[in-house]
Amino acid sequence: MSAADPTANLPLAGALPEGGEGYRSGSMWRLILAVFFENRLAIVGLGIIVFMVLFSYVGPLIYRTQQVFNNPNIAHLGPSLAHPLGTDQVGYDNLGRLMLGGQSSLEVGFAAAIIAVLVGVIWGAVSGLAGGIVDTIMMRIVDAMLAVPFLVALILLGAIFTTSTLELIVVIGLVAWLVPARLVRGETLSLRVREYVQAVRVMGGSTRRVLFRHIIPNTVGVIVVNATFQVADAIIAVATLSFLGIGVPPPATNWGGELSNGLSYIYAGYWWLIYPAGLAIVLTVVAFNFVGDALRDALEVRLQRR
Amino acid sequence: MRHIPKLSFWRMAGVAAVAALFVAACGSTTTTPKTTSGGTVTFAELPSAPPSYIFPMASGTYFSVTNLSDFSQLMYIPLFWFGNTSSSPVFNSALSIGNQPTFTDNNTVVNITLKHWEWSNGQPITSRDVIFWMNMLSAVTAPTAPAVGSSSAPGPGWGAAVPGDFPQNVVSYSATGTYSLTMKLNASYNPTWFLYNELSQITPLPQASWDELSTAGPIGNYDTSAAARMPIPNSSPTTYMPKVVGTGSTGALGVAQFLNSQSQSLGTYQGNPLWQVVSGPFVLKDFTTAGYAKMVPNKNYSGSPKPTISAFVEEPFTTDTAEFNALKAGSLTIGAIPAQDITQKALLEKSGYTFNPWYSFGFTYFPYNFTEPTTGPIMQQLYFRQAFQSLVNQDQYIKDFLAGYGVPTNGPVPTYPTGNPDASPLESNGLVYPYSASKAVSLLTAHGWSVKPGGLTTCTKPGTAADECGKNIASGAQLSFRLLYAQGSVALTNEMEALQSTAEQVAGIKLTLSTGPFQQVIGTAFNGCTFSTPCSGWDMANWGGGWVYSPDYFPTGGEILGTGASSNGGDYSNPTNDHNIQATHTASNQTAELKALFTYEDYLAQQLPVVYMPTTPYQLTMYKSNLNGLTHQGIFDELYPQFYSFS
Repeated sequence: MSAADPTANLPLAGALPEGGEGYRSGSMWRLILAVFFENRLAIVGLGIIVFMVLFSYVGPLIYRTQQVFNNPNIAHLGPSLAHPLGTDQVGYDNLGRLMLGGQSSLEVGFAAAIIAVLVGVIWGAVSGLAGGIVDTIMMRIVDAMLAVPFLVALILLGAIFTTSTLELIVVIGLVAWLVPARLVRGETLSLRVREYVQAVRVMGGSTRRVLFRHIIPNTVGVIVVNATFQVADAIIAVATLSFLGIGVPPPATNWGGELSNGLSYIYAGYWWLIYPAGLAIVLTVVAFNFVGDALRDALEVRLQRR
Repeated sequence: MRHIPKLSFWRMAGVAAVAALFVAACGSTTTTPKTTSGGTVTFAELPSAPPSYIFPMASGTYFSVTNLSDFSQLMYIPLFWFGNTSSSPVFNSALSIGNQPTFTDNNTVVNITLKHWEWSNGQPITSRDVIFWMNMLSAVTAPTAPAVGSSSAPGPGWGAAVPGDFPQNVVSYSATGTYSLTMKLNASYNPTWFLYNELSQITPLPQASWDELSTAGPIGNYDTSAAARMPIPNSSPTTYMPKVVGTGSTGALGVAQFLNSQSQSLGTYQGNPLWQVVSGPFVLKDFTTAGYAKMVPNKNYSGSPKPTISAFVEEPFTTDTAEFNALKAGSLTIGAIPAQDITQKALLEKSGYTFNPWYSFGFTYFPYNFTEPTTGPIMQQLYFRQAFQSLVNQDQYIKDFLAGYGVPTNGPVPTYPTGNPDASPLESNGLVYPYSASKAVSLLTAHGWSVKPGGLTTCTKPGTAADECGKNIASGAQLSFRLLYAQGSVALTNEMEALQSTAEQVAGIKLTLSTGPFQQVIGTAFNGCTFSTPCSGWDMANWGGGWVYSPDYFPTGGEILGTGASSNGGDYSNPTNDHNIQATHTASNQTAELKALFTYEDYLAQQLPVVYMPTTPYQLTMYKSNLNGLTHQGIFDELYPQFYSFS
C-alpha cells in the first residue's frame, strides 16, 4: 500500500476485534489529509483559493493592462473583446483592476491573519500558562478590547493611520488577534495540567520550554483552523474599510474599494463594476470558510475515525 | 448720496437682467398653483458636510455654506440681505433687517437705520444688537487679540476678515438712536464695495440674551470693552482696533469665546437657550451631532413672507450615493442627483420630482499651501503653477465626471450668470491655461527640472536664474505633493484620481491623495497658515467647492486672495494683487470700478493663485414637484424656506 492510499484509515475487513472497530494506524498528517480530502467542499474551497491566487498574481503577467495611469476617455465601457469586464469610472480595465485588487485583498488577508494568530497565540498561551493575576489582567485587556465593536475599532484605527496596504495589515491585525488569544488561552488552561507538562516541570524544564515545546505545538489544531477563518475575516475587513472609504489610496485598489466604486453607478446599469468584485469577495471568503471547516474536522480528534 | 443708487442700479440692472434672461431661457415660468400651509420640507445636506457651527461669527475653520448660508442664516439673518428668489446677486432690501444705508461726507460716513423688527422672544432688534456684533468682530479680528482656543477647538474668529478692511477701516461706530447708528470710515470708499463686502458682514445678535461670559454668568455689557478704538500702529492708511480687546474670559473677546465654545458643543444645540433667540424665519427645534437639524417657524419673525410650512428638516448623508438612495425612495423634498446618476433624471421626474440645477455666484478652486516649508517654495513659482494648471483637464472633467454640468474656471470672477458684467473679456472668452501636457512639460524643463514622465521629476538646476528652479528650491527637490480632498462625492473623487494620474504620467508630479470629511478639509485649509506660522501638514486641500461670493457679494476677492485674509487658505500673497484689490475698494465711479475689477481678475487669471477647477452648480437639485417657492434658488447658495409651500 502506498503512503497516499486513501483507504489507509478504513476499518479492517473481517471480524471486528474485541473492543470495537479497529483502524490501521498511519502518521498524524496522513490521517488529517485523508479526513480533509473527504470533504468535497474543502476541495472546492482549496481550488477557489488556488484560482484566486493564480488570478491575482499570474493573471497580470498574461493579461497586461495599464493599472497605474487612468484614461477617462474610455470610462464606463461595457464588456468587449478589448475589455472583457469593461472599464471603470476613470477608464481602468476592470478585469486588470480585479487582479490588482485581488493582490491587495489576499495580501492583507494572509498577512493580517498571520499577525493576528501570532499575537493571539503568544498572548493566550502566556496568559493561560501564567495564571493568577497575570492571566486576569491579560484577559481583562482582551475582554475590554473585545467590547469595542470590531467595525468601530477598524474605522477608528483606519482614520488615524494614513492607509496603505502595510498599514491596513497592521490595523486589521491589531483588532483581529483577540479571538485567537481567547481560544489559545482556553486550550492552554487544559494543557498545562497534563502529565507531560507536569513531567517537564518536574525535570526542571523552563517556562519558555513548556510554552514553546509543549503548549503551543499542542494547540496547533485550534490555531490552524482559526487562521483560515482569520484570513476570511481579514478579507471582509479590508473590503469593509475600503467600502467605507478608508481603503488604500489610488492607484492601488482592492476588491472592497472596487465594489464601493461600482455601487456608485448602480443606477447607471454598469453591472460589470459591481458583480465581479462582489463575486470575488464572496467566493474567496466562502472558500476559506470551507477550508476552515474541513481543517476543523480533520484536526479535531473526536471527529477523526481511528 | 448720489453714487450708491447709480452703482446699485448698475449691478441690479446688469446682473439681474442677465439672470432673468437665463431663468427665462430655462423655461421655468409657471402658473401659480393653489397652496396649502403646513407640511415638512426635508432638505438633503451635502455628503459628509453636515452643519457643525451655529454662531454666525464663524472663524475660517467653520466659514462654510453648510454652516452659514444653509443653516445659521435661517435663524440669524444678516443686517443686509443679498440675493433673492430670482437668482440675482443684488442687495435685497425687503429681506433685510436694515434699510438701505446712506453714505455722506464724501463716502466717509455711513448712516444705518433698522426696521422695527423683533427677536423671537419679543424683544426689539436695535442698534445695540448691531453694536454688539461690531464689538465682538472688532475684538476677534484685532491684531493684538490674544490666542484663544486650541487646535482641536479653535478660538473665535471671522472667516471674512481681511487685515485693514472691515472693521479696521472704521474709525468709530456708535448708536444714534434705538434703531439707527453711524460709522465713520478711515477713507472714502466705493459705496458699492462697502455695502456689498463690508456692511454685508454684519449680523445683529441678541445682546440682551448673549452678552455673557459663561453659562452661569449674568447678562452684562461685557462687549463694550471693545467699543473705544485706537489706531493700529504703523498702519497706512490708518486703521483701527479696540483699545481693550479682552481675553478668552473677559471683555468682548471673552463673550465671543463663550459663544464660540457653545457653538462648538454640537450635542447641546437642542436644549441650549442661547440658540432659541433668533431673528430669522426659523428656530432650531432638534439637532443631532450627526448633522440632523429640524427647524420650525419663528412665530415672531418680523420679515415677510412668514413661513407657512410646519418644519424645515436638514438630513445628513455620508455619500452622494446614500443621498440619492433617499431621493429615489422619495423621502426627500429637496435633494440632489449626483452627476453619475444623471441618467435617472427622467425616472425621478416621472415619480414627481422637478430638476433644477442650483447655480452659484462663485468659482471652484482649491488652494496651494504656500507656507509649507518644503513644497511651498515650489508652489510659489509661477511657472510651476502654470504647468500644474495645464494638467487640469477641465473640459474632460465636465464631460466625463460632471455630466456636462459645469463651466471651465478661468479666473476668480464668476462667469455665471451668463453675461455677468463683472467677468472680464479675458475670463469670458475661454481658458487662459487650457489643458496641455506638452506645455506643462516644457515649462518644467525650461526651469531646471528633469522631467520623468511616470516617475518623479527632480530639480537639477537649482538657483534663481530664469532657467533655474527658483528661490529656496534645492538640487534634487522632488515634485511630490500631498493632496487632501473631501470624501463623499464620486465626481470629486474621479477628478482627483484623473489629475493624480495625469500629473504623474505626463510630468512626473506625484500627488499622494487622501480623503477626509468636508469639515476636516476646510479645517486643514483654513487653520491660519501664514509665513510666520507655516503649516507643514498639507500641500493642497480640495473641499470640493471653492468660494461663493458671500458675504463679499461684489467679487473683488479680498476675502480669499488678499494677503492675510482669514479665508486665504495657503496664504497667497502678492503685492500687485493686493494693490489691484485695493483699487476696487476706492473706485470713484462705475467706469473706474469695472476697470479696476477687470485689472484684478485678469491678473489673477494669469497668476493662478489657486488651482482652478470646473465650476459646477452647487448641486443638481431635484425637488418635489408639489413644492412651491423653489423655482429659483439662491445664487449665493442661500435657502429661502420661508417661501416654500405645498400645493
